[in-house]
Amino acid sequence: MSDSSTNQTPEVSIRQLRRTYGDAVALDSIDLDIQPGEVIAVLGASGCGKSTLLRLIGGLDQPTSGTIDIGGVRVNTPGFVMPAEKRPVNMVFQDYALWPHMTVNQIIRFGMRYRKIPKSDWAPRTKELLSLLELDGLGDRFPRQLSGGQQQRVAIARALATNPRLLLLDEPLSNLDSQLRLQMRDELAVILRQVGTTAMYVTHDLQEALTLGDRLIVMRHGKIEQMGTALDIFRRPATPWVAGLVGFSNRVQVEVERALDGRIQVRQGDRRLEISGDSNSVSSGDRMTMMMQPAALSLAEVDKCNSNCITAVVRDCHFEGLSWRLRCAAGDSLLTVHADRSVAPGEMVCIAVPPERARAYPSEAVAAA
Amino acid sequence: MSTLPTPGISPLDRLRMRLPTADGVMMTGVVLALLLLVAAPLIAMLLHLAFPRFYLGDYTLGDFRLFRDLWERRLWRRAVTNSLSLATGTMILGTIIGAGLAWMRHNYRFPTAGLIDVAAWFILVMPSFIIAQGWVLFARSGGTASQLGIGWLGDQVFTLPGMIVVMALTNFPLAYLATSAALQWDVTRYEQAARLCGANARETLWRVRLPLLIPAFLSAAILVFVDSIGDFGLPAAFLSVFNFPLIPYIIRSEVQTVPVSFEGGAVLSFVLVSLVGAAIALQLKVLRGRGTDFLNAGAAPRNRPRPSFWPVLMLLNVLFLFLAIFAPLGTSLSVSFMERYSRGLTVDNLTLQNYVEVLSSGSALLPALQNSFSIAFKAAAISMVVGFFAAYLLAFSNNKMKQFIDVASTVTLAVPGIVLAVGYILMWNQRWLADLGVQVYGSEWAIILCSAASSIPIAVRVMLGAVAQTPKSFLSSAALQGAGLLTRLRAILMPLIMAGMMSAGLAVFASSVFDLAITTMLQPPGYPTIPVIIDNQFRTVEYGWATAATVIVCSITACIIVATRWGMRRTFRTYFEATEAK
Repeated sequence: MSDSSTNQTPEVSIRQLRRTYGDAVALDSIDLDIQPGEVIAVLGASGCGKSTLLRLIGGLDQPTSGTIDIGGVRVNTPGFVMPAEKRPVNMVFQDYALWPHMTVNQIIRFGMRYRKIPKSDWAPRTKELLSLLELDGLGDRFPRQLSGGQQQRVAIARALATNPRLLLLDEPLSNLDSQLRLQMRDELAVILRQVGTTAMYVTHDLQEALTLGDRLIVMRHGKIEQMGTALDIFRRPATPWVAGLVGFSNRVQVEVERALDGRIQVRQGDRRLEISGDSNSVSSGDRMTMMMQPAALSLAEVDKCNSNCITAVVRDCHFEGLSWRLRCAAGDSLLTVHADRSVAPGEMVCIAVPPERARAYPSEAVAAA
Repeated sequence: MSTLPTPGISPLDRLRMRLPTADGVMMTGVVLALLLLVAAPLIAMLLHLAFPRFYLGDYTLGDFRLFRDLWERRLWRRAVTNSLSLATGTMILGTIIGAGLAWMRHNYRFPTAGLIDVAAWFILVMPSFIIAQGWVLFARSGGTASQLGIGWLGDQVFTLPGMIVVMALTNFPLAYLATSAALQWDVTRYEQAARLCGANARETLWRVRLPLLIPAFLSAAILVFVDSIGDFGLPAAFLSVFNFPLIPYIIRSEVQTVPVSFEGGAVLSFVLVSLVGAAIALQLKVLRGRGTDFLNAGAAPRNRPRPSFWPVLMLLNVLFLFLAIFAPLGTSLSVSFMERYSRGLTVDNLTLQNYVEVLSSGSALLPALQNSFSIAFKAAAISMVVGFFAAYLLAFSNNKMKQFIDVASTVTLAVPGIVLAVGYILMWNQRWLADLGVQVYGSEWAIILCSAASSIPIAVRVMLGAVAQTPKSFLSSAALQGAGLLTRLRAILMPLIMAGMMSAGLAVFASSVFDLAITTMLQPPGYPTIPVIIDNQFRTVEYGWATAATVIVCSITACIIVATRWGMRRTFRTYFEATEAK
């Protein structure tokens, strides 16, 4: 899958990148362009190859085949891989990798020497970064004397200190507790926008990816499953697997009645619905699975239950603080819906399905995912 | 914000493409060093079996007649059977003592329990010939045992069972430490699961706890066997009183007694290494398929209750420590203050004359001290450099040669020092090397290189323990800051493993100062060394001088170790604090 959304010269260009370990394929046929200043979030489950991709770009691992260009210069050719210390990239590691025998100032300045930044700039640059990352006054501390959030900010400061063309972030929030993680996620989004450095952010957390990425790459089994803006991925998942990843957990079996322009008319029981989907690839009579996010569904008045609705019987109802979560049976399917009121089990409800928030995929593809 | 330029691939880079990487250069260097230090001497020994006149440049295939002599020469046959009997007996008794102490230490809480650890480490680092000399002085007629009225006990030391007891008391720390590693952790959930399945306490012990401990017991037994069969210190010390030929000492006789027989030394070395190899192979065979990884994150230090019979445990412990440490070493210390050994420990026999003689100008000790410390320092430096790079490669490299490094940096742990020394003689005593002007054999460098080779397993394993704890991301992040390999090693890795490096260096230094087997085989004429000079004085019954010299050298070595540790910790306080806080 190649990205050619813009005509700008890409900051990073990857073609047919592949990495194998013996018979195991960690990364396969990766094509990707990253534009200057763009933040790419790479989303995927453990073992999908997202960290391998990061390590190959950083020069910490060698590709089996394929090419990587950074700033228009190829950093690997057959028989030669430019070592990490020569590449204009830097990285924030999952465990931060803060050297415990150095102070914060020493850690931030470490790379300035080797990246040939004039010595006169070291002190002001360090001060600027400490200020940017709200670490003022902590320059003489050792990593063990810092909180988790402060350590994370030092790791970011060190990575920015060398003015990299590309900043790589390998799940940097995963070691933080949930509250701090939320706070740092927002702070990180602000910092990345502020410095304007091209960045690649690897995560398995959907919310992080949506918050931080200008564009998202969803990876699975070493390949790019889908690439697009956050809204694209969240609203229009290309495959049932991506749909599952972004929360399309409700599944209902439907039959195609006819394909419209960019929409599909389907039948579910005695109900007729119009939903989003690739109208060119379906034909009348196809059996499909309609997938929907619980948050996209709402309860409608039963007496107004006519177009784009599913009737269902409430199985159970649980209060979750902000709303009630209902599990409803619609034929053979169980649907989850959030409601602003309690509904007694056994009661018939009408579930409104917004056409643009439901996706239909061939049933066999859903089963395979 | 301005960003870094991408350097691109310059013509210089294209040239570099044809050169090995920094990692590759390091790998090549370490492989070559291990080939030279470890593999080549052992190969030379094997070659010598096939080509007995190999060292003269004559590559005629030998007739392997000397292998038949193993059965035909009475002395050789006795040496082999004696060595096997002694090592097997020591293995059984040493394992029982070590495992018993470990069981006591990690199952019960009682006063003086902590002293077992101290004693085990103390005996472990103490050269075996010094402990053996202490036992000889304790047991021989007119010695401490006689003065205590237990002369009959002394007489028993100079028998096979007596030697087994002495060697078991010297080598039990290996068994103690090996079994402690398994016994100190609480894995009661396995036992609780068995009890819930209906097994009673006895059945749980036999069917769950002991089977889980078998790998540790077996490892302990093999360690004791390997160390006992290759030990040179005990036969060297006992020979003056008790004629009990053992393989290590016969190897020395073959190589150093006229008529010199390098072939005989090579054959007996081969036999010794084969016995060690067979023991290790047997262990691997028994352990194959047996789960040895039951100590996982769920294990916690064992909770030790204080039993009602704790006074008995304490008494047993104190008596044992007295026997294992104070009997031999207390005797040596007391003899160093005696005017005449035969008059025993009486007030009018006390003197400082032995110390005065040892320290007086013209004493043989001072040049020996200088030489031995010089050898130990250089050997430590070599094994540290090789060990550091080897540990880095073992921890972080994926190169195929890593397996060779792993084997070569471990093998000398199982090769007795006397055998390695024979390999060095056979490797460096070559006519073609002499023709080239390479004179390692007959110079101090033979001892230095051999000591370094023998110490490499300690250096590598101790440093590997520290290196392996360093996250790879520490080095990766330094690389991404632009630091090259040597900078990464110097600025990141070395500070973080400073404590491990220091421990490894001091361990190698201390063991090299007192390595009797290697120095006695490779010592050049007119080049006195500490272990040999003490051994010679002991064998000529100059007990006062030998023991006083032992006390002085041990004290100086201990002072050097303590001062180095203090100095290093003070100089690199930040580094030590960083790793201790991890």
